[in-house]
Amino acid sequence: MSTGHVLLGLLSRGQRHGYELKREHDERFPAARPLAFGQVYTTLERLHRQGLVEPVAVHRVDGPDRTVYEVTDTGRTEIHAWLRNIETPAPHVSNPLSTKVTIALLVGDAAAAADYLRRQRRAHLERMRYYTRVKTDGGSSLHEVLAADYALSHLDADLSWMETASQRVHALEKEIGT
Amino acid sequence: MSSSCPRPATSLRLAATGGRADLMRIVLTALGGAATTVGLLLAMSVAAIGSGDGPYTADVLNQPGLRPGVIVVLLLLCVPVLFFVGQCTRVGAPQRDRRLAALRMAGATPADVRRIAAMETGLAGVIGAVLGATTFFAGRALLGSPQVREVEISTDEIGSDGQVTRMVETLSTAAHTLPTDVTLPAWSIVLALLAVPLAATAASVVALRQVTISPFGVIHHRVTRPPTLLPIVLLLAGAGGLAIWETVATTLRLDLQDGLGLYAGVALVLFVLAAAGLIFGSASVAFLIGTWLAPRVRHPSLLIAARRMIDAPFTASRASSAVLLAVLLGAAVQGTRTTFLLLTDPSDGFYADTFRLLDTALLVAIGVAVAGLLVITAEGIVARRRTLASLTAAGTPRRVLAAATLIEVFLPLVPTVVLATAAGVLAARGFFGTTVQPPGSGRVPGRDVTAPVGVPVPWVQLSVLAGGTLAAVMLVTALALIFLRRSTSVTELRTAA
Amino acid sequence: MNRTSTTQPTPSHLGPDSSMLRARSLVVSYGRTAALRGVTLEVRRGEILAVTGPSGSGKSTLLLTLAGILVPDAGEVHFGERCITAENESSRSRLRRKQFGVLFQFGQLVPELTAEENVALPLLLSGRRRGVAITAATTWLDRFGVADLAKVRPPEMSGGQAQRVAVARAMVTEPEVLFADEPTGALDTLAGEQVMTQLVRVAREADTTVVLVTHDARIAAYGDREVVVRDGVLPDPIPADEASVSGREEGRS
Repeated sequence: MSTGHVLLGLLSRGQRHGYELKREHDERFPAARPLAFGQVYTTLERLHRQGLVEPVAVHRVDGPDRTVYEVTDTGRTEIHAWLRNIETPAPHVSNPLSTKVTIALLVGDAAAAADYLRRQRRAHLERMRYYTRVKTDGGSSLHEVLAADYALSHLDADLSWMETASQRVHALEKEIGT
Repeated sequence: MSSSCPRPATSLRLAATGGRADLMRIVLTALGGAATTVGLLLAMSVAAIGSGDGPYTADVLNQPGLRPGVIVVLLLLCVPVLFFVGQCTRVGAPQRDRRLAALRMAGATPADVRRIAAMETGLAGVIGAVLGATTFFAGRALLGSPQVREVEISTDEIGSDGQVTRMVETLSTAAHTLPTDVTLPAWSIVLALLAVPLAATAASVVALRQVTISPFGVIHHRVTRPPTLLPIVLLLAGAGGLAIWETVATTLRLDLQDGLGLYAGVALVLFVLAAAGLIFGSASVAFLIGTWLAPRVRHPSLLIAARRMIDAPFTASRASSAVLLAVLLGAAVQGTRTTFLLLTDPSDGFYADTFRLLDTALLVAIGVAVAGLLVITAEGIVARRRTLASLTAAGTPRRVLAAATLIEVFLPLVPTVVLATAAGVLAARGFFGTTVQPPGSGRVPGRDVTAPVGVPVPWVQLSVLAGGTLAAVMLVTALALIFLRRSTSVTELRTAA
Repeated sequence: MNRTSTTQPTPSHLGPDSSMLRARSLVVSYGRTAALRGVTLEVRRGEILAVTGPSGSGKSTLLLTLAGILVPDAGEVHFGERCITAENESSRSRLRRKQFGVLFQFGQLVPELTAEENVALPLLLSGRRRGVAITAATTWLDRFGVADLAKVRPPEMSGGQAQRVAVARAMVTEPEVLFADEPTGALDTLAGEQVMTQLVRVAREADTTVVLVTHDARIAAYGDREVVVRDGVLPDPIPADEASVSGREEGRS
């Protein structure tokens, strides 16, 4: 889970300054920990050094200077590459999944989000197959089976969320399509 | 208490939420009820014929002594129709029973459940009674005008020399086909209107006893073994008793002039015993055939049929009891006819006519009974559609399933129809005796007046009766197989059980 | 909608001999509702293919069509060299009886027959002697751990027991393809797991191809491969190389 990619994603909607980015982040990802302004500032600096964003203006509204940033072409390529890569299916609550769908809808369109969800589903299912094999393999001990059960339940919960998300995105796609 | 039971509208809705099957049950029950009401009103009309009514084209109606017989026949005709109604009240009933059992498990009292079922059947009965009465009175109005007919009135006179002289008068008179000119007393109309709804309601409550006693047992269907000894005892006592009754009565020197009531009464009781034995016995026969076949057969249709006979022998007996009753009566009538035709002058067409009327009545009875069998068979197929569709999906040829249905209906019926025929003819022979003294034998020169003639067994009529009934059953079952195609369609796999 | 009726080319590494069933541009409608709107799919020999999708997506319809139970309005299903959609009902019926096995969620056992008779039924239908059929049935019941139920009738069994008897019946003819439509849909997690574990084990031993329709990812995880039906179509396949898990971005933030 990378704050850099989240900020890149948010910036791809248009020019923003750091404070706006923080506010938007906290608004869009209420489940995530609110970003500290310092973290926003250092991340933007790092993204600037990597050539993914660049400052375009400085606003001054009766307070400190606020640098407005914009995504570069390299930044856009990076965010798309990031979106194409699926997250490691982990047997715990994977908030990155929902974050990624949100970003995908922001930068791309419903089709991009649907595409991401399909890839992620496949990866999750592959992981579930692994744990299922652990269970059906005669040689597994009870604690291995129990651990596999635990992993499967959590992966299944992720998948069940992904399925609902897919259906919602699919409905959105259809709505746009018509 | 009254505030806590469901409202009538709620009860009715709970009874009829099954859709098509529920509607079919109500419609068929109402139709059967209508037929019974018509039959009852006809019997009442015959009973109400007074000295000022008539004459009628049918001679049996003109002779007061024969009218009780006509009434009995009409009432007996109502029996298979009532059986038919009883079968119709069970269309879709297994699902309804499960629904009601689920209601019981959910906290409904036995009274609640009984009320729900009784309301629905009662309502269908009322619809039927009203429909029947309307048909009856409309028919009365239509057929009301008398037809001009030649009526022969014959009188036999025995002269002092012992010779019988027959005097025949021909009268040209306006005669009614049916007793449509009779004024029916109000009480009889009320009685006829109430009989069907009350009987139907009572029957549905009795049929529901298993749901009220053991709702869990209904949901998890268990096999109940039918009694084997009881029907054998009943049948032996009834048919056997009838077969030897005349001999016994003669040995006991029962005076047939004064003791006719006793003689006929005992015979009637024996007849009812035989009928009860047949009806209970058909369940046992199905069960025994099934039990014998199931572990042996290799053909899938035989196996399925046999297992179903074991699983629900009472379903089979419910379906066939009306048929058996009609055959029993039919065989008794054939036996009686043989005796009567020997006893009477062949030139007198009266008995031949009367028996012809009786044959028609029997035909109607067998027809109604077989129609009831159709309802039960079709219902059984529709109720099992999920399983049938699954079997078809797994590649079971439809003809295997069709054969299973045919066998299931037909196989237990063959021995029981034969038994019913035998019991019926034995009853007639036992009642009237196996020998008679033909009339006017005294007129035959050179022959001993007292020489009795043996009554032949009417093999031809009995074969026609038994064979014809079985053929009709076969035909009707084949007709019910129409439902098999629809019940095995893929769409049934997509619906919940 | 840009995902309708795409003809999916057979992957080059799969020769014709590796495919068990091939469906091309299947269209099935129930009245006015389209259940399948151009589905092209290949089922490979020996694989366990999970067909998933939301309810009403057409996954059961796809199974019924692949199994030759339902005839599509358009499109073809090939089983080896045979085009089964062109065959008549009795020929498809024979195919289902001898080379396919079908398994539904519930209600497929004849309630009046004992477990062993239910399992023996397909063999009896093929004209096998009763003794032979019952012996085979007992062996299969034993393989699914329900030999003690041989004389028991389905209404007296638990859902899991009945379903294991049903799997035994579906497998008794040693079919080439087993079609299972929500086989664990009426069972709890553990009972479902038991049925699936045995089904998969026996199918692998017998080299039976399995088409498994389920809405449950945990059941789909018993399969080797998954296709998702959505609105009566299969989305284009995802190229395998792109779908690999990558941790490239980790630690960058």
